[in-house]
Amino acid sequence: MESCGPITINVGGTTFTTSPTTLINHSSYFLALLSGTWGDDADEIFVDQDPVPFAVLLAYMRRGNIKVDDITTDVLTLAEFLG
Amino acid sequence: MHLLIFLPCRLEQFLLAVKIRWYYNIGRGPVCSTDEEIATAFEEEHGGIRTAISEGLFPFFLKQDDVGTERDLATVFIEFGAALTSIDSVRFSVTECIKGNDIQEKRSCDSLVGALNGIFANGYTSHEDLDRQNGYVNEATFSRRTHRAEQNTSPTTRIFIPTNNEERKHHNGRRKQLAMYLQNNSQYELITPSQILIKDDPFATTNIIEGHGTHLYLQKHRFITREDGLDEIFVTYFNLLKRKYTDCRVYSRMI
Repeated sequence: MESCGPITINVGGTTFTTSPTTLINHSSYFLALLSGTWGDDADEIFVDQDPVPFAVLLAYMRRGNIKVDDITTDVLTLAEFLG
Repeated sequence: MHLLIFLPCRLEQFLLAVKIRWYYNIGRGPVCSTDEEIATAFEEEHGGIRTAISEGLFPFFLKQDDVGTERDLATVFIEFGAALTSIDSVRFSVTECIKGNDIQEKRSCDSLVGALNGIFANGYTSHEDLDRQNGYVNEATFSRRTHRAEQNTSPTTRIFIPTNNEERKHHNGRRKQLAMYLQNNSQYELITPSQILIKDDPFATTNIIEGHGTHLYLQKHRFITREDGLDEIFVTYFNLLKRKYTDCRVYSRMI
């Protein structure tokens, strides 16, 4: 994939559209997933995780901060997975 | 192919901040000096985030452990070295015990009001209710927590948007200040925080001897809340006061 346009990822059945750089700059999981030969013909990437905590972490990746009240055990566990 | 830019991974930074907040909330963070030391200590003690969750420690990530958290302690007590025959011979000592280290002599004061105002100004707020049966009469201990997150300037401590409760605590940085009212028949006396020196020396006090304007002075400076109970703690001091004065009361204000 030549462009750095938005990509769509499907996390546990919920789709999220974001910039690839948002993901690869923040997550070693996405850094590995989106590097190499990925992207030439994929419309959507499927990640088999819970979408609710992912939404929280994606907001953190975009903003750079996170509300303490938004952090759950699922958010922490997923953050370790995506770390 | 994507253009890969290798920046520090911010989820790693988030996880580091999680460990710092968590370890501190459990009451162990202040003993470490760097972020990495705290994260390492957290992992060594709790085996990482997943283990800490399975140990049931997640509530302490959200909210500080009120029981287990290390506190600094400051104690005000009467100096018993001199013969306590008159109120003029009474002096107070203030000692501090920082992060569980040895007790350090901090200050000697000639008034209870000055000693207490000094420790309030240094962030001590919670009165520790010690067991009086074991001879703790004539001294009072107050505690404070070291708010590492507020002192540390590293980027990891700026990741979290605080809870409403934390926000309230942060902005509610007011402290108590005391003044003592003394009456000897028609003569009135006040021991108040020193208006001139207070910014430099919160232990400093001024003695004001006035006529009937004493109550107005207290009201004008918002010393309106009666502080009862100190006479039960500092029994010796108040007994000596009552020999010289017909009435003695302590008032407080929040500044």
